[in-house]
Amino acid sequence: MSVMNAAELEQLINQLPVLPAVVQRAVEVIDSEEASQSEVADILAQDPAMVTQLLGLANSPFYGLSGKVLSIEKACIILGMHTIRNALLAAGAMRTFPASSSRYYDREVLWQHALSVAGVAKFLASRLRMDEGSAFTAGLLHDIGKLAFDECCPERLAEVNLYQRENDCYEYEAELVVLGIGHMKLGEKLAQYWKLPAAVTVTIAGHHSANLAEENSELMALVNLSDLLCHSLQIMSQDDVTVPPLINNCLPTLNVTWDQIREWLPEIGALIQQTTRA
Amino acid sequence: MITIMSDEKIHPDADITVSDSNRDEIVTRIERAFCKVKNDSELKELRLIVEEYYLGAQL
Repeated sequence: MSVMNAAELEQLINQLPVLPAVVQRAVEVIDSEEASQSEVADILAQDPAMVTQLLGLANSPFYGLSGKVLSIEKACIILGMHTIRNALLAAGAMRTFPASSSRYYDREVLWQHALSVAGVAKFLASRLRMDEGSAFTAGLLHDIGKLAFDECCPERLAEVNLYQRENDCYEYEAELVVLGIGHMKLGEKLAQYWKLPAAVTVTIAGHHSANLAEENSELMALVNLSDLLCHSLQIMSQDDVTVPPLINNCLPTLNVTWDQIREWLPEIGALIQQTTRA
Repeated sequence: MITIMSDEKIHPDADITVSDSNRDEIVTRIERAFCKVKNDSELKELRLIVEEYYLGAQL
């Protein structure tokens, strides 16, 4: 077992995959604030598979349109450019790390967990009057660093797994010891490379931190709590579940209590089951 | 102390039904999932809620 040196880490980061070109261009156009729905639709039309993926996401229960949207232009009008931008980034990430290209990890399981966390984060955001689109995107992408490990250095992940089992620690602790970098840090690097929104980037970087970041602390707390709830409610459907730590001041930051969570748990459980079956 | 109600569905959406045959497995899985958080008082709260969810615990 050898920890990656600085050059190997740099090489790992340089290997990080790019987002599909149409997603990059569409996001740039949306960010220019002069974007029209037809302009975004024209860019995406160059990649029919991306259109299908984006419409699939827009029509999923997470975005609440349930089969009502058949064109990108209509999706832009109904959901708004901000939500479309988030959905585009999510669809782009799913395209970049397809479940069918698993190397060491079972990406199907990783994406199912990511979708569960995204759905729960969106549910909690609606109850707590937070931005639901950002909650969904941050939830979906919180573990993107694990997918990056699977893409860039799958041969090292068996060592991580072995260290974790032998030392009875969390996976991210084992990553740090074995590889010298955890999936949160690698995910942050990827998020910066992909120019994801700052709040999403901070959340990816800190979702297992001991303390909240000074900025965007609410979104980080929301995803941390959603992650814990998903792990807690998947103990019967997945083996070897370990509930990760709660970030300090997580609940006070969200202004939520355990009693409220107890009340919402049946709905959250149903949401997770719905995701797992999808 | 946890009281487990046998053969009772916890809520309409839950697929997991507590019965004599699987209650030990549920208890074991909860114990394993929360094994690293014994000193975290906040997560003790979460554990209680999860026990209630799966087992219909009367605490």
